[in-house]
Amino acid sequence: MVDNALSPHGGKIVERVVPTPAEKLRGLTQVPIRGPQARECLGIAYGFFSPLEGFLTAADVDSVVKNMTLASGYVWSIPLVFDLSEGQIKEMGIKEGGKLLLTYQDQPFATLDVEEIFSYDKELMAKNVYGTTDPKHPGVKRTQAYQDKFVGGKVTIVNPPVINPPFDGFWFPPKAQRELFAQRGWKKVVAHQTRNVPHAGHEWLMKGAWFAANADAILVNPVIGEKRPGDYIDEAILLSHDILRKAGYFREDIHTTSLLLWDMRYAGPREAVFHAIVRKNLGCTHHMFGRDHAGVGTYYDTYAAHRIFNELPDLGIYPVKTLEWWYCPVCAGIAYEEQCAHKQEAQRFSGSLIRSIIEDGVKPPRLIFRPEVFDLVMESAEKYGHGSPFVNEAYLKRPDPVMTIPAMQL
Amino acid sequence: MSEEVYPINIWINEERFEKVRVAGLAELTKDVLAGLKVIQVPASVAEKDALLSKFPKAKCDTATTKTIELLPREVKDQLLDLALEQRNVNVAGLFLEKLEAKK
Repeated sequence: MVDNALSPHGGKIVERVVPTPAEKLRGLTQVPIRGPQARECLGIAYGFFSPLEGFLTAADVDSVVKNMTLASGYVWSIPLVFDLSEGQIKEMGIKEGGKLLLTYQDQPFATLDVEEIFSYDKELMAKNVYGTTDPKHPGVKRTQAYQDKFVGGKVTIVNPPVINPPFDGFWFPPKAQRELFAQRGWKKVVAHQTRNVPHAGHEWLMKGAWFAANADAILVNPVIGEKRPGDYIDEAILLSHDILRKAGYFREDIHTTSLLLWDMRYAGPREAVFHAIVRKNLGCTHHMFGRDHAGVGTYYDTYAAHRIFNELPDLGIYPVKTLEWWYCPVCAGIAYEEQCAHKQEAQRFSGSLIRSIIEDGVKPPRLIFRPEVFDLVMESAEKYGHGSPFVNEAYLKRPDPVMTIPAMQL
Repeated sequence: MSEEVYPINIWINEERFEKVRVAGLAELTKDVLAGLKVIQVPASVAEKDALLSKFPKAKCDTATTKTIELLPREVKDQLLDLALEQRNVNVAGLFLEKLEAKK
């Protein structure tokens, strides 16, 4: 029986970053990887995904899919797999017991120990992880797009990336994040998961959770990863959260922002569990969960991500479950569903609604969207977004803005 | 049981406000969200589905507001022009008919 309450998850932060000279990497079978795989390698090797040391083997995948735990018994909700086609495996002569050199941006990046090569029922994986096999669900689509074989084994970063501005100021792997919390004397930190520029609903969600947790501080931890047209650009998300503090809506001594490299699966309740574990690894003691956390479309009940924690052992991070914040014209301000009795008059708003307002060329009122945030979003549009705060084709075509893999001659 | 209706929010910027004012149809606007002006064009389920399929970046916010958001700005300008012309906000069907006729 394992203790799921241990912090970090599994009891220690995994660190598998070993800068390695080129001569030791020569001769390894090279496998080019894409952005999502590179981000997962970093998540594993820098300990965000502790206790994982690599991509899952068959026993772990099966246990995660069927029981929401690793084979060891530690709770784990999303299978992290490294897929290759049978043809690639044959062509490159990949065999169990071997070692691969994963290249990214045409440079050596990480090694993957080939502990096991296996197949898995992708339909079952999708059904259990996402609760649906509908190919319109982005997580199901991702699962169905996996090649037919998976390689499980340990990952080691051999050529650490340079994190580029403006992302570098927000790069705090678990060890560094925990050190920062310790320096500031923060013992109780409540995490805020986001993939949005903050509007007043987010601001009050954070303020409410800070009260509810009696926390020392809030960690805003935006997810930076694959984008879709119409999303806010990453730079606007990160910098706008930071401006909330710089503009004084949060005090310097109770708020910080760092990034998480992760491609959202939109797995609703299962993704909520994943978020909780990752933020525990970062040193947080509480995690806020609002309505429809990590959901998409109508696949999940609004509060499915709240209820899932009732079915799990103590994860060592306390879920702060919040309902809706809305604008109440009677109260003349932002109000909370469980406190404000003017439900009939309530005016609800969401990230999509605010995006729609901005898209229409309208500056939202300061009660709903802080002017400093609006100005920052517009600055980011000019500086990083080809004139738009929303992802467009030009933004999607740019090379990975977050990291640069240093040149290494093999 | 009445059919569900999904409003399209046309947020009123200065340019749009001027059009509405000149048309003398300020009564079509509502004040929401701490003074923000909007004209809401209702869409039936079939109209919502047609709009979302023709404009893939648009989104029906099913979780929170039950409104259709993120239609391109020019589409909303056309909807507003139609509403002012008809002196009525029920113009989603007419807009789709005109769009079809342009093909």
